[in-house]
Amino acid sequence: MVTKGTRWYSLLLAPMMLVMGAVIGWPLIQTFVLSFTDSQLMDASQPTFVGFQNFIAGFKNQGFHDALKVSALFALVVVSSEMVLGTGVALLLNEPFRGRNVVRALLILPWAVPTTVNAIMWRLIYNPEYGALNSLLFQLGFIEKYISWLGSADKALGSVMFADVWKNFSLVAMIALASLQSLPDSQIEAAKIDGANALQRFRYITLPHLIPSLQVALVLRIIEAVKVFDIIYVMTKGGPANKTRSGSIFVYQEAFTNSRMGSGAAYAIIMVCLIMILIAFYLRGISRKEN
Amino acid sequence: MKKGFVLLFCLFCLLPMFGAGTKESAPSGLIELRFLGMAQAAYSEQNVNDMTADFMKAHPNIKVYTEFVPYEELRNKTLLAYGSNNSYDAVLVDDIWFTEYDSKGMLVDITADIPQSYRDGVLAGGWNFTTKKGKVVGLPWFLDTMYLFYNPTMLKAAGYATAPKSVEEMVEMGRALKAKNIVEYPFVFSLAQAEALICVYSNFLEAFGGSFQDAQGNYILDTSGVKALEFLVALKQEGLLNPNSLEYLEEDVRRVFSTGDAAFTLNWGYMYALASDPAESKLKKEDVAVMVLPGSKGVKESAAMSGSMGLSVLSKSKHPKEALQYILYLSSKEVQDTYSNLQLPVWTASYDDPAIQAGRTDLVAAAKKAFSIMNVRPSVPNYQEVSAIFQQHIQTALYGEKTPKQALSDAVQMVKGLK
Repeated sequence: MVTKGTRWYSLLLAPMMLVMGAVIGWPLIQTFVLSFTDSQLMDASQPTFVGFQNFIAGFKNQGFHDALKVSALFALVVVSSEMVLGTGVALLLNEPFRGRNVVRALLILPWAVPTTVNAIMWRLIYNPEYGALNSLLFQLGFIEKYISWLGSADKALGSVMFADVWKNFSLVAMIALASLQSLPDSQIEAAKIDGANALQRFRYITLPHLIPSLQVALVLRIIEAVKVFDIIYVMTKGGPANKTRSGSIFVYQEAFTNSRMGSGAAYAIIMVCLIMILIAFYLRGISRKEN
Repeated sequence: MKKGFVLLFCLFCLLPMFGAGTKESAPSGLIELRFLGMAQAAYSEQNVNDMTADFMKAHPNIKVYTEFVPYEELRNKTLLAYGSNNSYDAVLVDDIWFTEYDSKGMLVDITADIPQSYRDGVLAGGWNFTTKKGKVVGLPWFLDTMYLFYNPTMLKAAGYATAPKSVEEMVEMGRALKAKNIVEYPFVFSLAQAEALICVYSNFLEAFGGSFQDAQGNYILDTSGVKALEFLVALKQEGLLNPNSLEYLEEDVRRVFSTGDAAFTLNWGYMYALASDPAESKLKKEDVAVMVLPGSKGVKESAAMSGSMGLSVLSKSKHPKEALQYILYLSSKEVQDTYSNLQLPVWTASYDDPAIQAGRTDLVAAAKKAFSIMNVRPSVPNYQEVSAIFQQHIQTALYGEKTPKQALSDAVQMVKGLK
């Protein structure tokens, strides 16, 4: 029922809704409209309506398939690594030890570093002539020669993934740590009295308590990882030989390098749909489990 | 409560008035121009800003705002700014982009406005790439090619007193350098998946007597093109080419050469001064020599591919006359001679000027020779896409995933299939 109060709230919300509509809604509509045209960047002529032609071409394009595979692999490896590493670190930081607060504060650092800065930093670390990683591995005797991490077709994607995990595992760790703070000590103590070992306490008490928070982190990270652009663009620009070209890089190249805004928009929408399907399956899975 | 809200609302409405006084507004009569250039070694941002300051001093009614982006972003930024109705007035344009920009109607035809002194004085090669369909749409700002830089001290140690006369002889020298442990990898090239790779490849394509396209515009890389790529692949397989080359751009190869870890490399003219600059390099003057890339034995004597750039006025500029004045100033002989430390001028007379030649007679001689023979990369509106396809496929061959013949054949097929 619309009351005087709710009308007042709507009025207060209206400016924000307008701004949201302008900066999110309008570009979305524009992208959707563009995807059905043959619009070209800087083409003075009026774009022609081409129906689903751009989408059909997208489904047939081998380059786009390869880019989607890169995105999927990137998301799978990066998100699973971050979940495991983040949870492990959160468990460690939940234990009392001297200097814990300092370590907790330091944990925020990788996540607080802007992605571009992180990418440049890792480019330097991976440098094949003077990079810190090569130096470390060489001095430890793990490698006999300095390695071209970002210039090797078989190592480039893994190297970028590692840089991304380093940056984002702390987000998962922070979310998990916040959740662990609300786990009552009494439950753990009771389990200890009942004779549960550390693994059993984690399996039956800590993990179930963590799962809702980890689910939030998982959804956030999957969305971010599937649409990864910046870290790859700065570190490899999709090379070598397109081995690190993700779906988003492909969309960018189609729209801006190849100047085909219409099909670029169609590829972007296909990617959004794929992410939405992924999330829908995931949410359905959760709701089934809860029921 | 209500009164408080009304007061707050009034204050909110008045906010823009407080802000209005803080925004710097242009005095009446002042013409504002925006210029987009490239963040690079030569001409550096500092150089361009100094040139611009001098221009503004001479033209107090014009204020020029300069912006600089890396080469990789220059085209996209130009296009997007142009499309967003916040266009630049003047921009730096690579020779491979002129056809595309012109086909989109972005460039002002300045044919009638070029002073005769420029027509007569600027090297003829410059006007070739800034002239489209009979119209001059840009001023040549620098003519450049990838020169062959080599280390004569290393060659002497290997028993060679003269520079290589063919690519085959250059490889022989490389083998000798490696066999005598003078340098582990005699060659280093910028072969990352970027335009730099195409520049290196196209120079060797020239050396083997090939070209990207025939007179009808068909891509023809099945003979000389394959030979050029086989040459690069063989260098890598034989261990003569620094394997890190596949992630290197020009600045990376400059660094490797400058630390004495390579005997041969290809790079732009700016590297000449930096390679023997104590602040930038471990090499001494006598360790650095430059020449035009020699051709393949029995095919041609020398090879060069253009990597030149020009200045243009964009057709959305509100002040095209002043923008033209600005780019004429930037490319004037006086300005170019003043800032010629890392970039050779485009003026014919400058090459006979002892002041310009001082300390770099071999670079000036190489430039004279290169400018008279240099070819251009494909001059097509969709060059960026074509280049991206070749970059990927050439790298595939360099990684050994495809044979050079297969990689180039696949690339040509893809290019043919473009819309």
